[in-house]
Amino acid sequence: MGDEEKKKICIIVSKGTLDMAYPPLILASVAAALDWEAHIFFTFWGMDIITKKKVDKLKISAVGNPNIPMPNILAVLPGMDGMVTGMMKKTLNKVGFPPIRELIKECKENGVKFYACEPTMKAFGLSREDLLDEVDDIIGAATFLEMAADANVTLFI
Amino acid sequence: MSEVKADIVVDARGKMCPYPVLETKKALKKAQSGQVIEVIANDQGAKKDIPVLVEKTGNELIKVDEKENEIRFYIKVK
Repeated sequence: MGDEEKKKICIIVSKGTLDMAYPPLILASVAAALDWEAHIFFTFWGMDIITKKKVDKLKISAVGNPNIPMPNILAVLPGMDGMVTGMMKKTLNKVGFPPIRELIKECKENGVKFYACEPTMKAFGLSREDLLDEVDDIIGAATFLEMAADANVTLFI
Repeated sequence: MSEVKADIVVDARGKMCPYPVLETKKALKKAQSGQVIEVIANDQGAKKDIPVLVEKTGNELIKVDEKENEIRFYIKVK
């Protein structure tokens, strides 16, 4: 590492769709591999990524998504999100992207810290048992701000 | 320095970012000082990412071979 001070990245994840789950996990795992301190704070729908029942079922939306080659009038039909998600997963798999759960494992092996948002847990009626074991702590905004105050990179996703 | 002998080989072919970096990091953790790690990747992002990882973790990139789409990195562990 040399005499360089340890760098730090703090990410807020507020969305729980498949496409929004990859960037924070990839960035944090690579940051940790570079010996950075890496923290991810999950809030609102982002909590789905660290919720046991949801993590393997993250979807992408077909509606209002200009990247999906499908008119909105069809995208609103039942089952379309599932179909589009299936297509997306197949593509990701083909180019060598890992499943989300595997990326979470990689993050933890490299020392990334995961935090659940305390007020969101109350709002969504979640308890500690609903969350993945990989979650390090349940914290509020003040704690996260203190953590992020001296970070080199802060992102809101 | 035409032939470099590797003690550990990391085959990350067919894997995308962040895997080449993460698997190289794993190998760096396990390796002993003085050993040479060979990383094989065909993710073009690795071309820039692996040298960054090697530098930031205080190791030495002694050779990079690129043939067609395959890149081979040789890292000396400090």
